[in-house]
Amino acid sequence: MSRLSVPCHVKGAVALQVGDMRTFQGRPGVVVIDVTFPSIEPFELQEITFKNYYTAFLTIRVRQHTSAHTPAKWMTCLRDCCLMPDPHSEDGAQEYVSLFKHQMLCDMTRVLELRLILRQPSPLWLSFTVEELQIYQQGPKSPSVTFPKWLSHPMPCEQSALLLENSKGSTGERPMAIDPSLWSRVSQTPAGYPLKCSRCGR
Amino acid sequence: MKCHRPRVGPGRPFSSCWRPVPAAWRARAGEMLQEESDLSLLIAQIVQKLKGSNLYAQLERQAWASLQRPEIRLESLKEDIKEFFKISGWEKKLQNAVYSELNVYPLPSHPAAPPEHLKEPLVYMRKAQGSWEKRILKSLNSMCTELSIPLARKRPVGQQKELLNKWNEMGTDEPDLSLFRPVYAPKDFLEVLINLRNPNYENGDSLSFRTHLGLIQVPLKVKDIPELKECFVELGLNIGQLGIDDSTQVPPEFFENEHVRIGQKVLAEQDSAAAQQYIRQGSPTALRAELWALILNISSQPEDLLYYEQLKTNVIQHDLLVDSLIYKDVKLTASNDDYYFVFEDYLYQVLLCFSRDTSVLGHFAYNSASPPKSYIRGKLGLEEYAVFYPPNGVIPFHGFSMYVAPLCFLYHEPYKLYQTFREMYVRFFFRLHSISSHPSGIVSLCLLFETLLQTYLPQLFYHLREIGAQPLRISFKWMVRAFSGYLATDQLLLLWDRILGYNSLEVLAVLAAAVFAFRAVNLMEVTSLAAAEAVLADLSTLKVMPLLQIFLFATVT
Repeated sequence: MSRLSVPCHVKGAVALQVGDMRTFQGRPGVVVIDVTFPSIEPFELQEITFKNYYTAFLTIRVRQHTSAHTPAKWMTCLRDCCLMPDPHSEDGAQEYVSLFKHQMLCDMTRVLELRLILRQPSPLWLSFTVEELQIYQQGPKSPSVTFPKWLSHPMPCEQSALLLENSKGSTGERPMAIDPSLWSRVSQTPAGYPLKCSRCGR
Repeated sequence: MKCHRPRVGPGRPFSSCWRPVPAAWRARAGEMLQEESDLSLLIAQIVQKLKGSNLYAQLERQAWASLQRPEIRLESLKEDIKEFFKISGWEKKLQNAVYSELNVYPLPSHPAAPPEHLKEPLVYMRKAQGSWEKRILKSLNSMCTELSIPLARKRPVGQQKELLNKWNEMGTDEPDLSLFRPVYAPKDFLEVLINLRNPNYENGDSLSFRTHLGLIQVPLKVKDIPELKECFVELGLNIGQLGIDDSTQVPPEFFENEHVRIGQKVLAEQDSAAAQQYIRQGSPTALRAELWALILNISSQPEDLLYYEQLKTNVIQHDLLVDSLIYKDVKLTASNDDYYFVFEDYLYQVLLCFSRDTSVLGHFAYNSASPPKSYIRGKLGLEEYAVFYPPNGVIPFHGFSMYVAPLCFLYHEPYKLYQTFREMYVRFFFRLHSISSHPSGIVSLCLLFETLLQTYLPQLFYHLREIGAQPLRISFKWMVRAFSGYLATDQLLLLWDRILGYNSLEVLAVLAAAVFAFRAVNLMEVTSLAAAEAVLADLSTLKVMPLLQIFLFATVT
């Protein structure tokens, strides 16, 4: 199953802080990154990949397209995913991470916008973020080559002849089920010509 | 849900059985799918590695030969051959090979991660290792130009003959090495580690809760004593140990005889994993050589002897500048050691061949270091004329020969000694002189040592710091050499048994802390670094296993 990269626009990170920004001594522990998809219609999200940079916990909220006249709502699809088991040490600090559809708490079928909420409770680090963010949707399921029906659905007598030929081989290998996608590597023949199969000698 | 078919992640072929997974099954499997695809990826990686090995060719040959046997039937060919492998011991050999791969190679990383990430995930450590390597190369090149000696040259035929005749007694040679100096010594490396800084870390000038009180200032995760107790559970007080329970006061019926019997059984079964578990309690002297070979998955085939002879030919034909460094190192260290001077000739043979062995280049995939590149004269910068120098990519430093010396007590044939040393180097010793965040890397070991000392002997740590004798300055040289040359040989081999058994070098840091704990009373009375060094100068009377056991399991915390 392949995946297709979705072009996205990653807005600059916004730090969340309580109180007056100018007089506050400490560093923000929460950063929010918005990801929009300006030129794409709502799509089904397959995978999110990024490189961590000292983020300890990640929460992702998603806004999905709804068919009715109700406005799109924000839903949490990933809550407090732990990227660094010990926020004070380097464990997991610069790792590559993939998050998949099946790990999400809600359906990701018509994604409009994503919001990544990064948390780093440790005061030891000067900054934290995620880098090289990539969003993927489902790619095409099978190759777009169309091939004649008789290639993918051999007649029953042809099928058993194939199996018989194979079992006569001295190595006694169990015959493999023919995988349709493997045929995409075989060049197309004009309809009606039987394909020369060198193993079976037909 | 037990799955018997190999399942694949998106787009990853697994040997020759590729099937598309039904979508409904995938939705139901969820997390389990991710784990299984990780497992499939790992299996595919191991299969890929083993396919190029000698074992694969042997297994294939055995499978073909087995077709002659009466018990192999065509209808159940696969199962019958599998059964044959099990009975004849070939399955065990394959298991040992797979176990060895799991121990040595890191798990497959994320597909988006570049190869440098596998060597070392933290960018600032990669940079630090890169600049350290540049410094070493600069030093080597300047020595080269000063002495006007080429990095490599072909030996004239006369010299080749002479060297071949003298091969077994190279120690009698007395070349003029006064102008050569070691490329670097452990204390130079320590200075680099002390200056290692994470640019994203709060390294304030003023002392705060963020500053480390020791010399290492990077916040790596290290284990504390409760975690170490869990990790080294076989060293516990109620479990028999060689090094403690085989002393003359203890009757051998209590532990030693039974332990030797189990050891012989493990060797008969030829099971690597069992041997690794067994050796955590120490290895009897008579069985040690075979046990280590089993754990390191070294089987001495005729091909290995041929390979060693080939390396020997390479040494004879070409002379490298690195050879002089090796000579100098052996003369300065091993030849002056009471235990190891008799093995001087072996050391030359092994180390000279080691520097020609290009198979060592494979370990740079998971080593944060990179092999230095050199260019053919006049073709600087052209990639087609680049070679690795030395051929194995490892530049020896002062004390390098001490990694080989203790092994000379175990193996008498040079090619077996060579194989064992090479395997020990690409599994363990390379971590002791490269900058990396690995838990067994020297940076983590130093931090582990300092943290243990600070947490469990705070008064001693504070006192030593106050008098300007940071404990790491004394213990660093012990850890970099894995205590070789500092402990008595039998104690050193008991320590290296545990390194093999736990597949980790953390026991070195624990022992260093235990030594400080043992001499704490004397150390509290010293008033200078020199005096502290004097207290800890002689470790040759120490017994390693009681020290480790008491520090981990019997110290009141």
